[in-house]
Amino acid sequence: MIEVKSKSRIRDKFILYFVVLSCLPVLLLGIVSLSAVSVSHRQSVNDLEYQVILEKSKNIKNFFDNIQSTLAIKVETLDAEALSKSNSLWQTSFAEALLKENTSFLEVSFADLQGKEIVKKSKTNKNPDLLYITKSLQFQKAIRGEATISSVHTKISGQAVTIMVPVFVEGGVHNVVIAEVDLSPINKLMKGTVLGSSGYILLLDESGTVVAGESIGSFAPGYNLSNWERVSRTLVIGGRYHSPVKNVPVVGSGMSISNINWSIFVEWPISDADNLINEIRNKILFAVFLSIIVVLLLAPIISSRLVYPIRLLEKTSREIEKGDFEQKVEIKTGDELQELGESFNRMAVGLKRLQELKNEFVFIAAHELRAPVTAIKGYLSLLLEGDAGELPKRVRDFISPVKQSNDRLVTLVSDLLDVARSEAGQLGISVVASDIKAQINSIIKEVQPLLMEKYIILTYEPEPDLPLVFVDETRFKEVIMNLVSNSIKYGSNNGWIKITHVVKNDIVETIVADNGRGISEEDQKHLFQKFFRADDVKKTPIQGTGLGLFITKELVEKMGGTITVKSSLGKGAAFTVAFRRG
Amino acid sequence: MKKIFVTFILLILALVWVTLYAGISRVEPTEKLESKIPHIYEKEDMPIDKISILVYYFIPKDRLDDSINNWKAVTDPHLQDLLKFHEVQFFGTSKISYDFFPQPIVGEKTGAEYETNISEHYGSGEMSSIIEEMTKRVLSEGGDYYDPKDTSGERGRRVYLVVFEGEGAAGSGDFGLISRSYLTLSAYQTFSSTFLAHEFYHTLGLPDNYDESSYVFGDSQQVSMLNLTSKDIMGYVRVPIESTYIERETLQKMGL
Repeated sequence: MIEVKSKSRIRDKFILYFVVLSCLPVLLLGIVSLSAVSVSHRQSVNDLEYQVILEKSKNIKNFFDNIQSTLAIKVETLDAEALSKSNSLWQTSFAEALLKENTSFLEVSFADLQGKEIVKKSKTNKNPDLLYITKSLQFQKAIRGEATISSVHTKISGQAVTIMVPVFVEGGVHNVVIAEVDLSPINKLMKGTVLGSSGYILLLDESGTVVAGESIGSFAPGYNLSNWERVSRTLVIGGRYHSPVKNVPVVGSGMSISNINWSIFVEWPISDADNLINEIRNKILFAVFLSIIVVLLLAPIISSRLVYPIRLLEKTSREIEKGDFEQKVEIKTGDELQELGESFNRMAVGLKRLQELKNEFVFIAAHELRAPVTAIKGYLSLLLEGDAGELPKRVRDFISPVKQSNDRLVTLVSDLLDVARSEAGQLGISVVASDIKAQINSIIKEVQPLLMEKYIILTYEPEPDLPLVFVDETRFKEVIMNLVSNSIKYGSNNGWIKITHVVKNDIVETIVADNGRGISEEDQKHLFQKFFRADDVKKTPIQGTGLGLFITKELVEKMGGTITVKSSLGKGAAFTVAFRRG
Repeated sequence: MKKIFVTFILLILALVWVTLYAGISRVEPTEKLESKIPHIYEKEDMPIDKISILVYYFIPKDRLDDSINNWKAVTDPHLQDLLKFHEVQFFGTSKISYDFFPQPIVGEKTGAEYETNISEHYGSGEMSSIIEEMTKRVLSEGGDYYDPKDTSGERGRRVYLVVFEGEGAAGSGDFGLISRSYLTLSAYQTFSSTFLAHEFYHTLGLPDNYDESSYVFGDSQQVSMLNLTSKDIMGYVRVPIESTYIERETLQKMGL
């Protein structure tokens, strides 16, 4: 499992782009769909309402047209002379016929020009009174030649209107025929109209009074709606408003019926009208929400999958950086990333080969150099020891630096050989339970001359019961020798070196501490790297290859131990090597 | 992460907007219609959303033999018809209640003195003596039939209906008068309720929709007739109450 870092910018970018590029079209599509569907539905509802009111207003118009034409046509067939001699007989016949012909007529009467009813026939009264109606405004209009319809009469028995039509004979008004017309056919027509399951119609007369339609609370026939602003508008189709009639939001349409100046209103509660569209809307919203949720769930998964090969490459490159050239990247994406992985693996193989060549070169070079430099060392020693005769002082002065340089060269070659062997895995390590006290005492003996040169005091007082430690004796000695040599080399005159042990459970630590020049925190990070020497040390005459601590660490780790350092610049250093107790 | 968080918030806001606004049609707000409270004819400051009628039986002192005991039972059905008619005309915006005065009131004068021997319907002038006496004895403090509860307007506008022994009918101010015989005789049976309602509506200020005019017959004979402005209940009463109505213009002047 690849460890996911807390910061993953490319993954976040992938998630962001994926979410935005996926959700934006979904949202846009959702908005467009919802809007389009809504607009289309609204138009359909409006069209339906318009159809209904058009049909109903036509029916109502026809109702009144039929009545007026019934009242108008028949009387015009007679002439004035015949009329004056008839003694109201023709009016009586006509009244009876008209009453019979039209089921809506409740009463038919004829009035003379003075306003006196001369004939009256009624369906509800066998002997109706003949009345005098000159003062009636409607009658006055009729004798001037205008057919009129009265305002609606709301009775217990139902709604009715009075229609007055002038009777023309030879171009002049001779009589006025008056019909009391029952509006129940219109009421039936209105009540029978249904839009959806709760739509309704209201028919209003010219004064804004409800004539017919479903009774809704106080909005019953007779209720006046003239104070409703919508009543005054001639034509309104598809308005969406909160209706005062049913106190719910409705889609409402209204139209004026021209010849009678009445208005017809259709209202369809939005909850009913939009029932189907709301279902569709909910489905669209569900699809949008679902799509977005899926995108949000998939986004991190997909982006993690996309980033995974990059992470793999990054992790493997870190391993290779540490020197592990055996690491390989397995990317099976079937695309450019797989090709990148394969290239990476080839590069690792190349780097490994390069490393091997370098190590081989270093080994061969060091190995080949070893013999000549050793020979040079030997001969120089012989020369300086006088085996070739007494050397003049001048010659001795020239040869001494040569010997010192050669000694350094011998050390360098030896170290290079050790490094090469270590990297090639040729360092022979044999870890056994060993008495490290003996090794350390041996080292102390060996370095006495060096200690005396710089008046450094080395103390070593191990516990008598110090346990055995799993080490390779030779290599352990080499490690401690290196640490002690460094303490002497980088220590100041009259300094001290202490070698102590600490036993912690099954670990035995050996600490080599001194009061030398110390190591800065920054230098401690690179201390065990190949060829590293601190800058402040480089400025001193103290010679070194920079390989000592690298080799020391290699040896310690190959023996299964650890090495650490604690130090501050100017305050000495303490190196701790820890191994398992035997 | 910050960008992802911001994007997520914007996405949520977009979804909320889509849910609440996309494809949702705007609904115009409620248009409140002023509730209609009817009032006395052409008097907007005198509401009649509630009306209470106190019904009296008035007997001139010389007509006690003509009086009936079951005057309440006789009057009640016509009052019920009035209530029904009023409900339809005012579509529930005005409610009537009524009570009967417990005992008949015997007038201080004779029938002739009240000038009630008139079979035709006239205006208030002829009934004024009954109204005067009723006002004095029933409505004024100190009157022998005075009870402050009877004049109280707790149950709405108070009007008085007087069923009297005699002939005639009238309506004026808060009083409506109608002959008991108009409620009991078979000749009036068809339109008794209409007659009673007509007089009642005078107490609400409705004027008559007729006046006296002359009609000239073909032989030049001139006869006095009632000339109707409208055939509604205030113009013509000789129809069953189910078949009559109050003119739209009249209702408009009463606030409807």
